[in-house]
Amino acid sequence: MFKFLSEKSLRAFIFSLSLSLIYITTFFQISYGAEHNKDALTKLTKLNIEELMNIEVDTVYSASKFVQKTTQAPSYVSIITSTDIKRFGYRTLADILNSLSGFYISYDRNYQYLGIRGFSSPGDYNSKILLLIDGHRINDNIYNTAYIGNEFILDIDLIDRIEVIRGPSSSIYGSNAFFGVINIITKNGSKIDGFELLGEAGSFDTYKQRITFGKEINKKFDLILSASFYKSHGQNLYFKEFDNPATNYGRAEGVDGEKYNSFFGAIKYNDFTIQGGFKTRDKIIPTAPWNSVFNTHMTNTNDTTGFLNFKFKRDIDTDTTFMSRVFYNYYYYDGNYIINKPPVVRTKDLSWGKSWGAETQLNKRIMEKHLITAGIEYQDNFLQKQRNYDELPYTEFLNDRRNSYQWGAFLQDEFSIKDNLILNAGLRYDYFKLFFGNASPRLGLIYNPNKTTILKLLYGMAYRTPNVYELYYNDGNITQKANPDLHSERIHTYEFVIEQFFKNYRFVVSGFYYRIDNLITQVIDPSDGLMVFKNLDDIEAKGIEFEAIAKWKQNIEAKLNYTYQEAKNKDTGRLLVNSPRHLIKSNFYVPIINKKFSSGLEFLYSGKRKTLGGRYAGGALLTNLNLLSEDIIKGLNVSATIYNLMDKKYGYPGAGEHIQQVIEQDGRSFRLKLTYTF
Amino acid sequence: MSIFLGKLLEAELYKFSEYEVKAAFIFNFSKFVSWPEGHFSKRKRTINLCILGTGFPLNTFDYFEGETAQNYTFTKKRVKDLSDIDGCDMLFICSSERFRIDQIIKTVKNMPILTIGDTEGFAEKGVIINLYMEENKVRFEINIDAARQARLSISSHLLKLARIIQNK
Repeated sequence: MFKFLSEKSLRAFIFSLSLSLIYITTFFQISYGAEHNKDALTKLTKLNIEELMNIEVDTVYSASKFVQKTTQAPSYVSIITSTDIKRFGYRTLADILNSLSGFYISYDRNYQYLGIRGFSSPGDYNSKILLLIDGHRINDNIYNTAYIGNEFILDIDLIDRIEVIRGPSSSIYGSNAFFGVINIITKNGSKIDGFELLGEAGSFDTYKQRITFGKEINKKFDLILSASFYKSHGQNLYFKEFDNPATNYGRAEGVDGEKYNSFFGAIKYNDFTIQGGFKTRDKIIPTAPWNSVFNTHMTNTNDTTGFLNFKFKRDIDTDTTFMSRVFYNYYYYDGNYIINKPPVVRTKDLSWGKSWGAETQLNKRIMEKHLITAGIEYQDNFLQKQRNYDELPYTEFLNDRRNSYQWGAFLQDEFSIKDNLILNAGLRYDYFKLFFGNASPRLGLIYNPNKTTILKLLYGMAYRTPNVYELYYNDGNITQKANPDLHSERIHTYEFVIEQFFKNYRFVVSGFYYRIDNLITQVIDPSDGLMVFKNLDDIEAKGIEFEAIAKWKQNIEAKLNYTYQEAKNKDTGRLLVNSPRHLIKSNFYVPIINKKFSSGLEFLYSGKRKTLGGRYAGGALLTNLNLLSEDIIKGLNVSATIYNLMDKKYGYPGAGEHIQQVIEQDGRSFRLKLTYTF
Repeated sequence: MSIFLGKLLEAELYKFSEYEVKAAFIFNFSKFVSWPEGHFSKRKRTINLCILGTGFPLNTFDYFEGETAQNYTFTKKRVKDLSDIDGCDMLFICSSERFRIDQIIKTVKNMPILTIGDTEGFAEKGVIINLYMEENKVRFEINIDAARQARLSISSHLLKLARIIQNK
């Protein structure tokens, strides 16, 4: 294993390990002599009713569209809870996902991008990950973006838990469930139980307020309403590519600002749920993309997203569940780019996406050993519009209005062959107005040789249809041109997972091999120098992940994971852009004085990543430290976080629209967060 | 709370299945119920849990077999039919029996048997304790009228933790 590790990453790894050890031994002494019972299960017999009522059954819904134990899911599953979010001071969904094995992020100072298993191509707006809120698809219908930064529609304090399903799940979800599925489960009103007020202040003049009301009126009726407001002045940045007198010596000053307003509400009455979310976010872009003028606050974007979800779900009996829902999605993007063509013009880049759809699903246990899940889904994209024009003098480059529809049907059987052997087999067929049919199978074999060992063998095939942005977008063929001849990309995956519980430790090893045909990637056409999306041939990714989780006495918890991954173009043998070979993450939670005062320490290492120009963005080890005080006075939680504690200088690869090879990220920064519940 | 967490530490990483936790609940119920006087004779030193129907994995009760509750040894057996319930102190009615639940309740309602289920609507039908899931945690409801009819008295401690159901 260490052969793979470059000296630098090895150093980082050892450094983070030793730091953690120092950290742990400074704050407490682990009482080792603890009596270890032979089997966790025998402990169950010793618990009383109150204790039993506190046990959470570790289940996941999103992997198979029914509630199952994570260890029985046909995937390597991770669950993040609101407790984790609190403990480590996470600010965005990107922060949360970055702590997981095999995940990495990048940020171009406008949007955050998610990398998984070695894939995060510049120009791809997170379209290969399916993002759900309570099962509802959030990816828009223009770029298919899964927003994970401040642009993500939901305030992360409203997240109850997140289910992360690695590997393709097109067999139950259809398009976009390519590398994985992330399902966000929101809090019920009962979790808030009253009013919650939040105030936050952080580096770079960042302020946030939130007010939430949540209540379970009675057993049948639950309500939550929330509004959040955020404003940040942002950093002053330096870009060496612009270091000349005409462009303010590369200094981008006061052009990193961001603000958003977001709203969320849900009403549950018996088997009915109505849920809606809305967010509008503005961001000034400091990087001068698409040849825009450097250092102006007039180059900015607005992203507005909204959804409505009306759901009916009933457990007809213990063996049968019926779910049906109708939904509506709204998306609006308004980009302003100041470009010196000459003359200096404001180029408007706009898109509108609207869709509605319906879905019905049935889970039924038959003949004891089979759990059948079947569903049909329809989505009507009644508006997919993109515009691009110069304001003065008015010149129109793009006015492309489309609509499309898709429907899909799937069937899945979880077959308990024996008490300790499960076969999970699923197949979905989707039909697209533009792309005919796609069939996606998935097979999982889950075997428990004993109570504490789980083996999973997984095979999956998934696809993603090109989106209207990749197909039709062009800006008058100045920087980017359309390619209506694109076809779907397809992935075949093979994976094994071994999970072992040992005393108070849990170990996971997962090995994967992915093959992608016709990967949709943004490239520069050498004949005209324009950016264009093309189906590239034969991409191959393989890798291995290790994870260890420990819980010690006094509620101390530690997590360590390491990923080695290699995603290559098979023809050229070259590593993909923005694809680090090594990822190491580790975090520690230590209660210093119970819950009154606790701390969460996190180390995140990502190896060097290749840039579009064939150079490298160096690897970086980031350290985040959160100090948390719960119920300091009744109802008041205080959290103080230092991000990038060591003030490490680092950057992420830029995309085709950037002159910068590497885009610098934030140095050391702070946040103070107060939450008061009454 | 911290003592509780300490006890659970090891167990917590190994996440239990719904059935394992439910089995633990069922075992625990035996500690909070008093059967009518004279129910346990001198030679009977066991509390017998009978399981009627299919669907609930029987081996999850293995861990509780031989444990003691109220000085009695806890044992379990599967019963094929209602005619076999002689000697049962507790009767777990699996979800597979939902179509004949009315008939089962009619037979056992006057016997000193603690009936338990984990099927929605069972408590309203006259099952004394019914388990249900709420946000990944196991909860239970108690039909106090049904308990009275079976001449079982349930400790107030247990009642406090339960959702109370009354016969309509």
